[in-house]
Amino acid sequence: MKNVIISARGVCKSFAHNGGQVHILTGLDLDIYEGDFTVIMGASGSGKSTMLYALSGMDRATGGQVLFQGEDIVKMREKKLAALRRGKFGFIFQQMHLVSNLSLFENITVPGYLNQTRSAAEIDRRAEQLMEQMDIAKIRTHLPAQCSGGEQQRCAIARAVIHSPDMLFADEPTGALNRKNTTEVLNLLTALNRDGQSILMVTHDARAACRASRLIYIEDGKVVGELELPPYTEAEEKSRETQINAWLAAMEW
Amino acid sequence: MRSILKLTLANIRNGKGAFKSMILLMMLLTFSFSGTVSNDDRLREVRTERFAEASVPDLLVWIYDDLLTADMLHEVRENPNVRSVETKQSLLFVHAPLADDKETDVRLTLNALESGIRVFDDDFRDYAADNTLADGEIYLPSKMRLNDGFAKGAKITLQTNKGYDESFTVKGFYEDVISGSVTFSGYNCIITQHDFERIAAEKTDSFFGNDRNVLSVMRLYIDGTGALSQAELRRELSQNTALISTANSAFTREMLSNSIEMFSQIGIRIIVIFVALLLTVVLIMMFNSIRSSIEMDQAELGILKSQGFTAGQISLVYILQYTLALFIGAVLGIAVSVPACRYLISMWKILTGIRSETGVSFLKCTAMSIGIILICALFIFAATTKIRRISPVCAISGAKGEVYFDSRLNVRIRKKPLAFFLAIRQLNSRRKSYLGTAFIVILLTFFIISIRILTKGLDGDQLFTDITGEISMSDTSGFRLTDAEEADAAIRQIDSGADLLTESYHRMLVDGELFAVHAYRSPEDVFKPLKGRAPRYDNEIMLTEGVSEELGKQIGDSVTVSYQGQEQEFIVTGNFQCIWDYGLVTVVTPDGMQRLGNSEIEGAFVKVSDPAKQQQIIDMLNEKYAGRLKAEAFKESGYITNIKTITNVLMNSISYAIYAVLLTFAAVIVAAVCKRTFIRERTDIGIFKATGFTVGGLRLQFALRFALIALIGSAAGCAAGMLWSRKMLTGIMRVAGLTDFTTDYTSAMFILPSVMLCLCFFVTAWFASRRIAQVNVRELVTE
Repeated sequence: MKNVIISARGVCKSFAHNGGQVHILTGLDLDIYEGDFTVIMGASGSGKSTMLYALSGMDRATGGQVLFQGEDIVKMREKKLAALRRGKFGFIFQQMHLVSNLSLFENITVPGYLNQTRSAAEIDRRAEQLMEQMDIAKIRTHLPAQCSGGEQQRCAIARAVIHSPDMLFADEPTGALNRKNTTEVLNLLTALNRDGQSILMVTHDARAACRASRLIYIEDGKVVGELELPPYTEAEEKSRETQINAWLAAMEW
Repeated sequence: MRSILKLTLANIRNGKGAFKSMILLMMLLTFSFSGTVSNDDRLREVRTERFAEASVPDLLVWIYDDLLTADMLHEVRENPNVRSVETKQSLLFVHAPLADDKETDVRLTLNALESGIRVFDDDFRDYAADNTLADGEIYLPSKMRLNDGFAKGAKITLQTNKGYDESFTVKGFYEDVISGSVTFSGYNCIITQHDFERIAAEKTDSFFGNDRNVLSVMRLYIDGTGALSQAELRRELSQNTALISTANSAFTREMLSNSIEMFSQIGIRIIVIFVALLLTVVLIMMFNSIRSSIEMDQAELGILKSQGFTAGQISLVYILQYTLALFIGAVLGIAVSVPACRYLISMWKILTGIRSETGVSFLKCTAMSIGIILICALFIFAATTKIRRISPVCAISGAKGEVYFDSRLNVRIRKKPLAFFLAIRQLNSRRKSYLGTAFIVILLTFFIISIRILTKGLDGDQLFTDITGEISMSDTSGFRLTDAEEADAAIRQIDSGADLLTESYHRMLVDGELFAVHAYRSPEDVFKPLKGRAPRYDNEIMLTEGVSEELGKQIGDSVTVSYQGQEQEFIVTGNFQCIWDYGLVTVVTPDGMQRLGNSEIEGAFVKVSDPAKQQQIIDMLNEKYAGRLKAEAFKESGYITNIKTITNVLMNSISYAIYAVLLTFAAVIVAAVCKRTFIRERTDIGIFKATGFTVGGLRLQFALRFALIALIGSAAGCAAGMLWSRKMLTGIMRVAGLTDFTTDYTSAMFILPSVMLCLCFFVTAWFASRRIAQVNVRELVTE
């Protein structure tokens, strides 16, 4: 029996637009389980990114509940949300979003320093380990502008997990990468998941979706399909991709 | 043109560039010069008008009637460079009068009432309708209001050779056009023609007699033919007649004007430097704003170029946008200066004794504003040359070129205090963009420090150098320098550590020019030499730098001093500075003064070492020199106290106004730079928020960054202040006669402005960064 780590109940999200309201999420119900590599898929405009931001507390839902460890993050104050981001959640963006005047090492350690339970030396050590793991240790002093997209995204992943978050969110992390870099990034995420990291990733790349243990399909802000998969192995990648494509076709993707 | 106007308006509507900040800065700039320049204009206008009404001559000479000979007058009248000479009589009362039977410390000169006199009304805002005078009434110059006891309705009793037998009731205070300024030491009062003629006929004493109470003084109104300047006319009469060397004083019209306009001139000098500083700040601010705007809007500028706009047309958009802001600021600044003028003009009235209308010199201020706007327009044009290098390709690439940061000076980011280390990094990474702001802080610090030094240096106590002691002696007409040694010995018999201090001065011809010659009997130098040393022997003289320059005489040179027909050679031993007589003063020893034939003492004091002996010394002096002097415990002259108070209030008002303007300036600049920084770093802020930074933490980092800029800038500003403030202030104060503006530096003079600016930067940046709260992490999402 898996433990629920995030539970969304009746989550709504609307935006004001041209004097009216655009409803993106309309009563979303979803449970995310601990240790899963959950992938959200859906057509453009289906609300998958909006859902990711609502579940991660990066954006506030306009209705419903998002429970994390029993607390509703929709009702959390800004300070508590900030504490959640620096302690429990990690986030990877499609465009990496590294701070341009910090070196790769600093981009990883600076958010880590916000964590009050670990010393600076511990953070530095963990950053060095992660950089080794992400194969960016040799360019630790480089600025983001001096690195390739893949190196930047690997650095962004290291930054997201520097504080060993309970939940790692990724918004199309391979969207801006070439094929080689995409594989590298997906391998890293898979490796992290194997070590027990819970991941919730949004993508519309079937190859990226192959790494999931659970696939969720969103349409008009609601879950319309779900697919459970066995743990990922490289040898089964082709067959998983075929299975996923067939499932996506059934979802009229 | 229509499309350029549309673009300009769109930029203003969308808050691009520092539109509001430029309005505020220009408003402060215009306000600063508008008030001062307008008041100076009003003062000059009224002074010129009053001088014309009073027929103030090219040269006005005061001379004791008994010393003015017919030959002397004939020589002057016959001089080919003299057009006319008019004489008027005055009566100088040697002893201080009683005011409502209380002793005072002033010496009055009485003149007969003439038509056209302007008398102030009770609240000193306007003139009274009634300017008549009855026998037994007196009008006092308005500056005498500052003296205790001289109120309207008070009884003034004057001493003549028959005792205190002339009493007048103060009917009011009049506008003394010639000598009404507080910088002028005489008090010319007005009585009726009948009273005047009666006293002149019955109670005047001989200048050569021993019992002198009322002396007749002639005022000579000398006008030249126009062939010579006023100063040249005075020199001509000094060299070719005995009048000037015998006279009490001889002022050119220009000197009289200066005595009225001195404070205004100092104000103008300060404002000229202040405006130059503010203009530099505005230009730096504008340059930074335009450059970063171009940098941030490269894609949009590329789009405009791809649509056919030329670089010149795009520059025009910037020029229009900023000149419009400057124009609005100028209009607002001039409008705000209207009430400020009223306050300043009321200050000038106290100092000059002349009532002038309040009002802004609209034409002049508009012309100055247009000049500033034109300079700014040229500067904007230069700042926008970068647009030429922007390619239309920017529109395609989104202008997201790679950005490299120089990391040579980077300090490692540490956990504690994280906000501080991040602030240093942000500052260091984009230090070029903060250079302008730091330079602005340097200028502001330098100016605030200079103003603090000026305020301290112009402190009444420091400004009016004088001798003083615990015992003062008045009515010393019968007590001469020749008596000083004997009196000193008598005093020392009572208190062996006591010193007799005396002060003598008279205007004399020094190498043909009329200057004040002072002599002090004092254990220390009253005027500290800037170069060389004070005179020790009776053939030595020390000159102010102003006198040295006028005469072209250096230390070691000889000068000839003439006084009432006597001529003596003196060797220049040193240079000093002083504010008396606008810095045109010389000093000899008391022996030197006697060698010139003047042994009169103008002021005498005793510095006692044993306070218990003070009364004994007073009694001894009053007994031994009965009728020749009056000794009493020293009390500071109410007039001097008031002058010191006015000077201090004026200087403090000016300095506080300047601090307020500078700090507002600093706040506006920080707010504008913060806004730009915020736009540039919006994504970084989103990233920091996404990784768990709180709004408060990010704001602290922002505020710390600007406090660090202020700290660095103020450190450099302090260094600049130490190096150059003195030179700048000397330039300002030269008009008052100070040739080397010195004051004791205190650490507070430097620390306080720095702390003020750092705090101002920190607080403003903290408030300006409140929009960090509006940054939503969702902005980082690429759909």
